[in-house]
Amino acid sequence: MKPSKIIKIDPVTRVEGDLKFQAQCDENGVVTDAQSAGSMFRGFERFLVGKNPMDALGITPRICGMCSSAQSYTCSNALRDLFQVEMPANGYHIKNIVLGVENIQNHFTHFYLLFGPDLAHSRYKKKLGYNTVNRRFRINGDSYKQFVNLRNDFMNLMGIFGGRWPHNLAMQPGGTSQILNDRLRLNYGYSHYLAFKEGIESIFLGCTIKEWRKIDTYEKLKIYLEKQKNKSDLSLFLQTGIEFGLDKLGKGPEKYISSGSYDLMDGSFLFKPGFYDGEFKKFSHNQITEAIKFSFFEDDEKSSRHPFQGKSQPDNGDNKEKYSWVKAPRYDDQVVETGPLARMMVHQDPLVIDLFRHKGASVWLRMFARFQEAIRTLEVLNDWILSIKINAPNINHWETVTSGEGVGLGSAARGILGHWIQVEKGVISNYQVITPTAINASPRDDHNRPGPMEMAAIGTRILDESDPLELLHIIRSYDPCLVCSCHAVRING
Amino acid sequence: MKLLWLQGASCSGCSMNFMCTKKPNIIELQERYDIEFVFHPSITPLSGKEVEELLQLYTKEPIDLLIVEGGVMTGPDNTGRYHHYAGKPFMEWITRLSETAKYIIAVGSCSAFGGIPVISPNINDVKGLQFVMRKPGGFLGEQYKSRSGFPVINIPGCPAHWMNVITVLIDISLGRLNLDDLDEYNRPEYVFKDYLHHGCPRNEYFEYRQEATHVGEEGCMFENLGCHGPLVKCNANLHRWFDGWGSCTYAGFPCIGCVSPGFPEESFPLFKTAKLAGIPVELPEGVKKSAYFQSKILANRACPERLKIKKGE
Repeated sequence: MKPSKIIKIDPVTRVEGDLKFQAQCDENGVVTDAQSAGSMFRGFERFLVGKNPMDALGITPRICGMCSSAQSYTCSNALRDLFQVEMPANGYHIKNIVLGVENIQNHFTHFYLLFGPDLAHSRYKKKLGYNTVNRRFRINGDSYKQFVNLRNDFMNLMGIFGGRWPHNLAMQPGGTSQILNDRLRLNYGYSHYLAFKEGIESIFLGCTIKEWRKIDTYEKLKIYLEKQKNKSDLSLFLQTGIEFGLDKLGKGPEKYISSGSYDLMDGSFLFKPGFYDGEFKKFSHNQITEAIKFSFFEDDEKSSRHPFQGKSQPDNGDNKEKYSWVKAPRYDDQVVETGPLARMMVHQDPLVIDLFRHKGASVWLRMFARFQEAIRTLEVLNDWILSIKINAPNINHWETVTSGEGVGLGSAARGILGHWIQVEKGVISNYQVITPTAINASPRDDHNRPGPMEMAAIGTRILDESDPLELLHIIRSYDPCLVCSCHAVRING
Repeated sequence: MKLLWLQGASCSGCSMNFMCTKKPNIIELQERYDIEFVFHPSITPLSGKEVEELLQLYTKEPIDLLIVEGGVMTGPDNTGRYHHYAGKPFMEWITRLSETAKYIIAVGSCSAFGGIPVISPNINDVKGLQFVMRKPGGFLGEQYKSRSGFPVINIPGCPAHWMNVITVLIDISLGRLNLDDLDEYNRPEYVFKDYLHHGCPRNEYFEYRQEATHVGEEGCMFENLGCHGPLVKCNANLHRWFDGWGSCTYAGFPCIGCVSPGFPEESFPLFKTAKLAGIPVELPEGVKKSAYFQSKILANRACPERLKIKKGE
């Protein structure tokens, strides 16, 4: 009998930021305990105290270089709430375009550059489809190469609508800063969009988005897979993903939250907000609390708090129970998952729901939901670009305030994003950010319940403890972004 | 050439922008310029123990190029506990790799000058590699030279524009980067020679002093909206972003000076120009206050009708 063993992965790469993952296995190689640890602390919210409210727009995107536009979007929403300013239609369209381009790009980049190469691991050599996977998905493989070029042309849309990427200031509280009376730029934006859409249709989907969107049940998906015969990257992933066992890996909590994504002018969202715990329920940000029992912060008399009452000071490192710079956010006192799978679940995307009912959550479904969200967003991008009215205003002016509060919710590629701002005497007195990876990669909470990613790892059988590929699949399926998560500290000031 | 890329106190934004590079793209860069990524957190396949072993190896063996993105966290109390990587404080890796590296390139304002996490009160004691803001020294010290005799080559920007990084990589791979190519902040001078104002699409408004008062309006953003365009050496309007389609002022928002050694501390408050008696406190280098004032009165008078910003609409 093999003795139990501890597997340490430090650093986990091809995730963003610094993640350390540790799993304990029993004699059969089954994970009995897991620890996900953010190993860097930057202290972002602290920088903002005492600054002008508008300074937040320059600082908060720099929390994260991948979801910089999502941070801008959410910060501008918090400031819009604070200043009580309305946005013109063009403002909505352009903000959604910039966020959409970022999210779509993030999702596909995650697949082609960060997640996909693991499928070309030599362990799968004997599996059906391996040779094709290896040729297309390995680093610098055929599809990898094609995507790099496709992506880099697509990013021109960031130049056209956002000016630069990451870290643009185009998203403002009252709208966006571009003066798009230059129809030429707008037309070229559309032309870049069409080129990318065609590229995705041809290499990834193997059919048009329109045809793809008719597939809304597991049965229809099987017919699609039959027809494709692994020609498109999506079908190759879905087929070999099952062949390699990804549909039996990394279930997670099977409880999901989304704060809604892409604000529309009538107050609704492109993808609905909600909470799923077996039933579909309403979402309220007031239900979010953060625990710090296992995080490197000084303990507080009240261990779980809403982010607005958040109180945290880095500890002195003596408490050996603590292991992460990430706090442990919970919703309605439950361990929940956020991200594309959560968004597609609470939005009740018919295909994702049907797959969930048939197969349950897994690495495979988490990846699939990410694609489904990207494709659906890519589909509406067309309408947003064409809806921009030339010579109509993109922005309304606002007056600054000397005191008040604002809440901004948004949607980064990896899940819900929340910004809370409080202003006193004209300057920021408190700023709090909740990021998606803080939720997914969180450590244990004050009831000792593991976070979603830890939960997804526990119970997994590890074939080779010196090369824990299963854990890497699970971790990467969440597309964790630790630079975002380990920013969160507030020292009452 | 073997290239090792590490991320300190960073947001990964410089890497994300770097991956947008075209001609060469990230693959062509490796194929055409004999640059081998032995490690990049998002590009190479290694994970866990393999990374630690690789870093260990290059603390003994020479590495041609070390790129650092993000500042070096030394806090709390010089323990580096705020940032652990591959089994030890990140700062220890930098100390040891700095002894074996032939060239070190600081990509982005954070590794060059400290950048974002240095914002007062700098609770994590973050340092740039050889500067903390404008002050020489930083983590490696003012006297530090890599094995090639170069100090850390700084390519600031938040993020650093991939073109500026690639051009320096090409220079090094062709063996034509010289010590006197660097300016007082150890930036390649040919990259950071011109002010952002050069090539700004709103130049005509500046010439005739037609000033915007709100973001999203026509007009120059220098006198009211805190635009650092005439104050900061940045080629983003000359070479622009994404096939020439973007830059800060192209998209209608003011420059906040993200390539400047003083960024972001010297840029606050954003979107607001500090003024004294109606004149910006900070004027373009070498311009006298009285001369600026007089020229602007004349400029305003000379403004053609087609450019005039109509107020109160």
